[in-house]
Amino acid sequence: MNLLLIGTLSLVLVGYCIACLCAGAIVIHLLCARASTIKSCSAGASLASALLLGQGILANLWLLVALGGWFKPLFILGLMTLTIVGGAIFIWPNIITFLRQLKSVWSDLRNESLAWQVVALLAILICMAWFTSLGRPLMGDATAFYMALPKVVAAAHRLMPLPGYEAYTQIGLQGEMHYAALMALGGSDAAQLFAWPTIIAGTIMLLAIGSKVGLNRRGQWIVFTCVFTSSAVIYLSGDGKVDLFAAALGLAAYYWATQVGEHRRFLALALTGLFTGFAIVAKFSYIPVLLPGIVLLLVWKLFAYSKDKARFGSSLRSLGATLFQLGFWMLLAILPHLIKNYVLFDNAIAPFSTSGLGWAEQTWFRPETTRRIVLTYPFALTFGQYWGQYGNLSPLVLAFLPLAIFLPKPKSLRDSPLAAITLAALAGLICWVILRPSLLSPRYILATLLLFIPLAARAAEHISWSNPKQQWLSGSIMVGIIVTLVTVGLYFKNITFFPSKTVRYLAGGMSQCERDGVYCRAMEALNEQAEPGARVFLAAYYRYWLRPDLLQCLSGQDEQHIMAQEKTSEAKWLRIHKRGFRYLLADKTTHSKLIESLDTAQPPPWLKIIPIFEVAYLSVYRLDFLDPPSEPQVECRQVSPPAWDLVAHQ
Amino acid sequence: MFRTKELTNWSKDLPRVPIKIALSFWMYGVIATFLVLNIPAKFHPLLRLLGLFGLLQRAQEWLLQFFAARYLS
Repeated sequence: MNLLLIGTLSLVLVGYCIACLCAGAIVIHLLCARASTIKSCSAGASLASALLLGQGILANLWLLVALGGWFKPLFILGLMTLTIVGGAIFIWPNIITFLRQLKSVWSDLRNESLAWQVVALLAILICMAWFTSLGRPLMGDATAFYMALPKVVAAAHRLMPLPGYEAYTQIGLQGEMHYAALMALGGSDAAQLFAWPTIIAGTIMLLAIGSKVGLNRRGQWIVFTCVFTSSAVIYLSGDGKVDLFAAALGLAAYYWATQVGEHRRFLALALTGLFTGFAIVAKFSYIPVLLPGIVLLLVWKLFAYSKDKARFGSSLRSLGATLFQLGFWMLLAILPHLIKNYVLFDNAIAPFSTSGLGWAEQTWFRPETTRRIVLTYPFALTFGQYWGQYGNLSPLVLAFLPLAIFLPKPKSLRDSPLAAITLAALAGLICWVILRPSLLSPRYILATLLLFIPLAARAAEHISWSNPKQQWLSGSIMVGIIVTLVTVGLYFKNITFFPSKTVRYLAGGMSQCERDGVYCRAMEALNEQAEPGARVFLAAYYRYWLRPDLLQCLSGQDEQHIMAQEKTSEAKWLRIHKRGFRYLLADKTTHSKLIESLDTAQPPPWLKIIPIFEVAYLSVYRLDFLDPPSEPQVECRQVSPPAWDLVAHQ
Repeated sequence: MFRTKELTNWSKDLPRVPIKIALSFWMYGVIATFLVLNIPAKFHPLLRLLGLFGLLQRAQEWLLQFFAARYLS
């Protein structure tokens, strides 16, 4: 076993989680309530809230620190240590209570039937299998942006737009800043796994919502199962994308919105606003989905309290004040993101104020396909395999939802938390379908979709407790749950879960490039040859494996745009030379047009192209300029170490 | 906001057996579709033999036509 790798991974991942937990506890304490004394809130929900709040706060802190250029490992470590020392006193009593809560869950499970014990075991196994995503090859969007930007931030100790994705750096960087901090502490593997504790915390928030709507242990096991059999959740295991951060923060926002008015109104409102703001920054697609649900839950409360018409006026004023406070806390959570965009792009609300939203304005399908999606929505969410969908909601949700007709109905719907939660989910989903009918991608609105689970779980649990005459229906539920768990476990083995590869990787028997494949090998070859600060023209999307200095000196969006406008092959090569590029990495599957226009087989006489890595679709070339018609205009230099900048050639 | 109220079982007058049979079919249908879409390809010929693929495709087409005729005509 590679003890250094395992030790670093465990220490960094666990240490960072504890720092988040303590940071959250400190802020909750400052918001006028000790974390250990949040009444009517279970220990699990308190801990999960503290962890997620700490995540939101640390990500924003790292963002401001990186903008100032002070993102140094020692600074990060020092701040984490201070946070742990300061917050441990608040969080410790909750940990003790949480352990007691787990003991109680265990003893309840021992009194359950064998079938329910099997369900619990399988659900826990699938949750634990997330660790084996360490053996999953990194690929796709994460290697283009979500893991590449943090690698640059960690190495350069500052935040700058990522070359080639300058405009995309306008997005909120909640997940990315955690990755950057973990990488700065030497834990790139920990960064790959960090979505795991995050979704566990998110699931605990959903369980707490479940508890609020009347779920008992069985129902909570069904909720747990539904989350971890949703492929939209599992596909995000260890793939380096950041959607799960928004999902967990969104679920926390929903939970605290249901707490407003019951106790410590100030704390609940503050947390609702902060979590909503963090979730929106983590994923802009949550704006039209999360906000309507949160506002609906608050308005719902107004109706619940205004049965007496005389009180309606004061309730309306109270709602106004509530929404004002919500807006204040949301703005506070979003402020660092606005500062980031103002400093880097001179436009605080980018990309929303730019003419035509560019990448933010997306339509994925033609009208016929969009109509088909909208007409089959619950089925498309559960079984759809559309382009870019990247996973579904658990089939158990669709299977169990109709069982709700057997649920006892409350005398008044406005007194039912289950109705409030489900309508909040429905309102969000309807807004999404109206505004973005063509975007069928559960990860864009995951928190809202997961909010449908409590209704399905409540219905299935109710049937499972029903009288012996209904046993065949409850038997069907049990069969459905177990079959789904087994199928999901088997299906995702060697898709997202790689147990044997993880063992080999941890044992040191497998290098990163053996795990990640051809792109990693190509960039490793380039890393070995290229001198510090060499410029690489990247005719490809993926870049994570490049050396940090090469990542900072890569071709930018403007350079690629200008290149595309040049008419002849020779003019393009001359432009490459003038911009100081010395290497070319070309993916023929994604950038064939550009590569053909460069005509690498017949370069101009003053250029020698030397291949240093070639497979079927991926090539890396060294460009030797022998006697070019002009001198380079720019070069990449360490003006303020350790960062690299493009400067005029000397 | 969320006070517990005395509950009444509004569904007690429903024809329970047909509904339960329909719900069981629904649950098994959803899980079977999930299996068809997710189990390894080597088992697909077996499912074709059982006629499940054809049945599911027909059901989906029927649903689409039903909704299109009802809401889009």
